[in-house]
Amino acid sequence: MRIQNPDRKTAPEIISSDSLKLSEPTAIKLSNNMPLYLFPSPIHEASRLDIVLEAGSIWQHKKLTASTTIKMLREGTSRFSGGEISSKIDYYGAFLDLQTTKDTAWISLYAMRKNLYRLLPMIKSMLTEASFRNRDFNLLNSRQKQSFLVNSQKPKQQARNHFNQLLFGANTPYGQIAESADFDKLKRDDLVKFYHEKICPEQAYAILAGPIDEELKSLIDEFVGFEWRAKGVKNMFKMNATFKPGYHRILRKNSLQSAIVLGKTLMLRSHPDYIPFLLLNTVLGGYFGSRLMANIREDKGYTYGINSQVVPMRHATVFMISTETGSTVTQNAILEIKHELKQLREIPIPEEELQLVKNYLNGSYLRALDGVYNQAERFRSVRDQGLGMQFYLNSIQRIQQTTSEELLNLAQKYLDPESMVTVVVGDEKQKH
Amino acid sequence: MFAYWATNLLYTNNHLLFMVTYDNFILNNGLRFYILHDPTTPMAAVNILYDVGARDENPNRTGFAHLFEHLMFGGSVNIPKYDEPLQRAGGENNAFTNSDITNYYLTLPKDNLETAFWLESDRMLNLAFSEKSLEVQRQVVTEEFRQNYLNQPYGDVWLLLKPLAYKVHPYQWNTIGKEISHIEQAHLQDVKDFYKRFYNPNNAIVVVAGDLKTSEVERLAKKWFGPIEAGENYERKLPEEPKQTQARRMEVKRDVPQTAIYKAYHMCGRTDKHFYASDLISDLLGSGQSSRLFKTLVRQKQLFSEINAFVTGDIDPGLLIVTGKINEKVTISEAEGALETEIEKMRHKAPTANELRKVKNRVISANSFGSLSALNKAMNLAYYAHIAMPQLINTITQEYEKIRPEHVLQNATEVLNPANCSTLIYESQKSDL
Repeated sequence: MRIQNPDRKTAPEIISSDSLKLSEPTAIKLSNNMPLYLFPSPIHEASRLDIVLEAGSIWQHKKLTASTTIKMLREGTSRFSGGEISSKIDYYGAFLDLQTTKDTAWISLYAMRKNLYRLLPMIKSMLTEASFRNRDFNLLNSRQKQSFLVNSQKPKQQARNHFNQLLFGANTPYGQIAESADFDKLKRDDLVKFYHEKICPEQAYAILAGPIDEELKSLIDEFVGFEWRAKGVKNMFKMNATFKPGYHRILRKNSLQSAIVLGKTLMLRSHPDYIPFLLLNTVLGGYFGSRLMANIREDKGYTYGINSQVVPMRHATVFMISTETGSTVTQNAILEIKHELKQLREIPIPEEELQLVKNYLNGSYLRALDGVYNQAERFRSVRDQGLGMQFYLNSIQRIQQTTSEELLNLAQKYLDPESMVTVVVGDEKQKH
Repeated sequence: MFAYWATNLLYTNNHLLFMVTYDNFILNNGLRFYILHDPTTPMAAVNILYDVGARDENPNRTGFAHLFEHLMFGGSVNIPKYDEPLQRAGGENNAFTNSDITNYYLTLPKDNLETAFWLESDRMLNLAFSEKSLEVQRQVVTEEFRQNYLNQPYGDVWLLLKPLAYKVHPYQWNTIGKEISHIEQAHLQDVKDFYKRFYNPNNAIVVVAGDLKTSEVERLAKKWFGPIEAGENYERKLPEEPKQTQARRMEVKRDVPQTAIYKAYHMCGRTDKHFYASDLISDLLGSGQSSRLFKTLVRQKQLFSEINAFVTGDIDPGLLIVTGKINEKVTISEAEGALETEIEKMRHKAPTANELRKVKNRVISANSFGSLSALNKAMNLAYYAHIAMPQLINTITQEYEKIRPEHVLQNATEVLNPANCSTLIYESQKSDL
């Protein structure tokens, strides 16, 4: 017996969900005045603890200092050797992540709640008595250098580095890019100095997600909330970024593909144009069905992938379009990118497409804010700019209210390729 | 689309509270459904696994299963574009192909689950095969080949290593294909035949995860997937890889910053009871900074800048791979000698209870962290159901717990035998650019 087919030509009705429940995390003040933000979830056993420090690379006087300092924390302290730290982390099935961005640095610890009391003493030791032994430093530095050299051979990495330098200036806090020789110039003393000046509770904060109880709060106060260092050293931040639009070609001999990056700096996250621009960016290159993907991958087949993104930092926002295309079609791809930018500046986005992108973004926010661990991650990315979870609720609302006319104006204001820097790394003479 | 590597192998907890509960049913056309209950999320995840991978390809038309995965997004018989309606419903999707399976997955707000069923059932019913879509995706996959395998440092390692390790079994080629020309030669008729052979309800498993009622999922399943006719059952007859009895070696020179070494040992398949012991051996050797190889070869002797060990986890007998990048000024023979010494130790002495406990704990917590995501759980359940052990979603860590030090020793003695090894030396030869 054949079962009858349903009407397959008509899409099921879309139900727009407003099931996003979001509130600001409770903040408690640790004994050293550091705020601890809580994202409780009694149904889970896993804990995620972030300690966010005012120790990004913008504060370093020598390249690589910030990232190496934070990575050295797990290489040994006066109480635990690097080997002991790794053994403990692995034995208790924990994951320790030490990261630096331009603005901040953080220590993330993922562990079962029941094992935290065994791991936190080690975190305390890392914050207060990292030993920076020469042997450990030389080993880490040489490993980092090797992995840097491998990365620098990737065309996409080369293009991004040049792009970043051109946007902000090679020797500015945001524009600095390490080179191979910088690893040789870096000295142990640079790290020790940075550690004492920047790894301190002042301006730092912590985020805890997972099961939360009174005992855990006092554990964290004991091991993170004590006065572990007197005040750090405050530096003045100088942005001084003045980029010139233009086209830059870097030869990568015999390269089968060209890595293309094109973009500019934009308004800060707090600017009224920022949220509507996110919507515009999504239309252009922010999702699988975007105009850049539809044209350059799905129609022309020039690339495996192309996207545009908005990268917000504390003192600047970067907008960039990036892709890797076959060498022979490099210029065609650039022309098509410009064509898509022109369309956005000249023709209002059709209502149907706009509604689709709004719905898609609505789903994206639901996904990105699903569960306390994701929420903690999202909180960290806005807290730095003095914003909270309300930023996301505002974004969802603002996106739904944005009209095609507004987006047309925004495109005219921000999306002129003449105002952008283009970097192409490749060898356009290379035949396939 | 984007290649996926399952790094988030997960775990479930022993507490009843954290057990994953699921229901299942089979439609008349043979399509198997699992519903995994997760009341904590407003999203629904849908994972559809088709039992076809690169191992099912014609040796002269490799890369086909993966190319086909791309074509699954080119529109189906009643729906011109797959992505648009999904995105309109707030959804996001992706897919990956490996040697064994082709796996499609999506997440969307759970109220719109029916949109997912509508889309997925239509492309299981029939595709809208077009020359244009094939032509474009041939180019896209060619660019993917260049981007990931040819235009990156160490990009061609797998293209060299797999044919060295496998002489007979189709695992000798990679999912992307042996060479670009195979992709360029794919014709529309090949595509249609492939679809007819493999993309049938009786060759697939659907897992739906979220805060959903089984009865509602069953109603939607019958409505959208029920009318699809079953295809012929596919009988897989793959040649068995003969036992390797002699060490193999290949040396190449490339313009990369560091010399790298790869050692691939044959091991059992995913469903073999020895799988877990081999997986733990790879963890003991090279997973994390407290692993043996990292401690001795990176930290103490400083011969390598990085070192890793892992298993491929294939359904047919797979590989245990040890890989490292050699420090400047260290000779290949010195580094390789030290590496072999460490590997050999594994074959002669069982790990201590404490060391084994450590790697088991890592497996357990990785599993637990991964279980936080409904999509991860759905993917894992689909895979476990595919290897006929859906219960592993709750018992996988118990399988690891069963392994004792003597099992590790026994397994290491056999697997890490030098005669069972294929070595690739990827030597750095800097060109003057």
